[in-house]
Amino acid sequence: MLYTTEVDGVPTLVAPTAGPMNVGLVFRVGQADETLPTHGITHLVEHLALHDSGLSDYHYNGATASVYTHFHMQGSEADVVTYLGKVCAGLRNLPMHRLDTEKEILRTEARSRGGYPSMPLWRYGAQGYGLPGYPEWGLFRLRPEDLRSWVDTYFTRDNAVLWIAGNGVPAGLRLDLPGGVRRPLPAATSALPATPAYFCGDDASVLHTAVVRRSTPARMYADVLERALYRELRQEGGFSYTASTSYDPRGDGYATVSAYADALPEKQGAVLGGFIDVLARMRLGRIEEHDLASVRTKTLESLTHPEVEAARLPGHALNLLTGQPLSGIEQLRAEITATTLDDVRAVAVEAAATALLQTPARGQADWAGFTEAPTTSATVAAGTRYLYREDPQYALMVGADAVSVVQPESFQTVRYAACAAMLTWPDGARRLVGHDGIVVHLEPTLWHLSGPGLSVLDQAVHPSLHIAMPARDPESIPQPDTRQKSRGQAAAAPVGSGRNGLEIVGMVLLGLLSGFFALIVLLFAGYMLTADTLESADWTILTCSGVGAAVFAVPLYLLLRTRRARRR
Amino acid sequence: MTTPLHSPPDFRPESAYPQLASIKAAARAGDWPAVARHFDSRPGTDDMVMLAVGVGEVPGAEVMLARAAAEEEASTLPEFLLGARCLELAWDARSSKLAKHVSREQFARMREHLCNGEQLLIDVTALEPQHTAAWIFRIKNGMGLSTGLAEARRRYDQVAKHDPHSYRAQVAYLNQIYPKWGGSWETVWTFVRERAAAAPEGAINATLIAEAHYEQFVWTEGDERRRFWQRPEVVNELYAAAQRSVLHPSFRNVYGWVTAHSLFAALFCLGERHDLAAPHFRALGGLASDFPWSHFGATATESFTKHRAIALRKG
Repeated sequence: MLYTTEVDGVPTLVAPTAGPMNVGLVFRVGQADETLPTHGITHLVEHLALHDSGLSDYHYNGATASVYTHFHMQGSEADVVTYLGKVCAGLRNLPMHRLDTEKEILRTEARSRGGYPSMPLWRYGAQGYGLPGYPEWGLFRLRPEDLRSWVDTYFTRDNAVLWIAGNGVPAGLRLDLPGGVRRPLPAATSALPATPAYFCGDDASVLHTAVVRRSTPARMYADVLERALYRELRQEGGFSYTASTSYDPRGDGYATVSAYADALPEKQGAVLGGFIDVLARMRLGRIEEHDLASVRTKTLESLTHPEVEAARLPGHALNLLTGQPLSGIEQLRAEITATTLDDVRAVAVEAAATALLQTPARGQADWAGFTEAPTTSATVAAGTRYLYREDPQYALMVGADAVSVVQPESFQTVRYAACAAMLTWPDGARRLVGHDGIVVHLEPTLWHLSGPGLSVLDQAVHPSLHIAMPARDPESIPQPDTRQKSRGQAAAAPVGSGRNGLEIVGMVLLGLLSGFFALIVLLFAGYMLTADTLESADWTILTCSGVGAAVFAVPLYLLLRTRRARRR
Repeated sequence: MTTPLHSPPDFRPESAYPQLASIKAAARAGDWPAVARHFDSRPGTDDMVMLAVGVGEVPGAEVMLARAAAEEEASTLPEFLLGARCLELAWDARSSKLAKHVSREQFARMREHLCNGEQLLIDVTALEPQHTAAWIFRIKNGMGLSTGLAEARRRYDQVAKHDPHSYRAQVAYLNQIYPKWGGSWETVWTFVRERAAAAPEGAINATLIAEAHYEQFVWTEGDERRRFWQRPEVVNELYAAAQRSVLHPSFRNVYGWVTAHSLFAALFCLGERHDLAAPHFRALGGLASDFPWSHFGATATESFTKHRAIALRKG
């Protein structure tokens, strides 16, 4: 059935298929290998390498994931040979004339995809496995030499595996890739001082992830959990339409179990409560035998599919790349059959200890034993103090080692030594993102700056971490004296009363007009503009989404709008 | 003459409920086996709540309960009672002052106790989903923790699934759906009338009608407030509720009966229908509850005694 061979030094997995040939060339590199200032580089390489594949009539694709990059194709043997040949040629000689165009395409792709997943950045911070939670800011600074160096490091025959579903290696297949080394997985970082932890989401849904040791019982736990959630939240409670789970190996011997349930806004409290009770029952071993039995049956059934060996090839390829064992169907079958309720319970206990929960907007989960994920820093920078123009209660501290924004109830600090990136705008605005995900965004127009002001930051933060952003529409640069105007323009907005609400709506409307990047900026304009008049509770909400706020302009607006609407 | 009806009223709940007196004594003595024995007869939902409230009110009971929880792996009883104790500790930490006089630290301590109790009860209800009394304490916890109306309803439904006529569950849920906690009068009246009608005749549940009227009265002002208890629809509904519940021939003195009679008596007195209050005073036989009498006059004893004297002359 499955056998391994080699094509031009690339380990190759082959399994038969009754259908058309499918192949995949997988490299052990992904977003988790990047840094915030280079974030997007793997995706950009993938696009550039595929640009000249010239097979628009065929099914081919590229995918950049957290720890791997996958070039995939379905077609005749001849097409496969052509496709893989062009991918390798493209990697060896990236079409740099396409660089700006592909960057634009990637920005468009990001925009059409909507938001970014929130879980990675809350769990891992602004590095490694947390990066899929951030915009591809590297697109603003990546140069041809950065891409070449990235390809030389990662897109090598020693860091690749080929899989083929078909009748062996097609004649004439060449994989002309440079030599290199197998790249180890990045170490998992943590932005959570304590788990289980929670943070407030921006809608009514509940999301829960846990990191557990990769195993067959862990995979079955995810499926059993789905059945329990579906029964509790949809069939019995009628609170949710969707209740689902997924099981995703991280590559390093651990896997992420994710669970999700949606809710009507008025039912969100019950969804959270029911969700927490289902998790408690799993943790305490109140697992239905019939749930495990049906998961067992279903999983075993899936292994009898005639194409099962072919279907498992991409997973095998990843296992091979990451040094994980390749288990055969018979072994898997035996493991599935042997999994007991106690095994599943043990996974549930492990999951409970590493859990990260996203609650519906405004929802707390301290009552269920979840610690609030940090939205405030532990220390304040020592240095020059500047006051906020609108309210002297808010201060900016610019020091030699760190910068802080100090609010009455909390503060955000980014130490330069632990800074993931600093975004810089030609008008002087600066945004620093710490490795822990804490964000300090500074609009020079809104602070009483004097002396060296923000220029200290440009010296203190290493140049390799600077990301130069394009100039903003002057209208979108916040000015204390333009607030009246913004408010006037927003008078027809759906949110009626409430000074803060109008200001935020005004800012966001302007932002939508000003385009995508202005929108990101405007989020913080709104954030800072309204900062002086928000109550402490509002700050909790704002800072709750604050770590991610840098990238979630529209959700933040919706969040605030919902909040305003509810308070009336 | 020294009949109970002419002596100063006895406001001690222990006087009305011997089991309550007995479990509190056992808890005060730190005698866990004696405490646990009260549950051997598998009391119903509302009696379970009474017993747990009793243990919860005993200062220091948490020491005995924590020890029992550590020693008795097979039973959820210690955790359940510890959860009840945490609720009491929470409200002690808050104090009974108006919210504006309660410090941030007090609110923080209150929340800490509520969270501790809630986590115990999450486990109890996960292990025993049919533990209706534990679900009732979770309804109460939810109010202090602001888990919201939808969650309160979910918790109430967990009780109702196994015990549709638990009066303690209905009162706990009713407190959550008052407008002051985010609910509405519409929800309140739909709920109390529906649950009162659904309960068998002679059950205590129609007392919910009196509870809701009293709460509405508290939030009424001006002329409307002065006329509140004279409105015929209010008097008639109260009268019917009393006849269906505590004055029904098949009514038994279940947990809550003293407060129920006290409440009906007080509301008829407020409406100057002392004649209708009289049967309730007689049924009390010298017992009384602070609620609602402590809200009228200088002391509950004074107001209760005064109105009882008038009622017994008239009715």
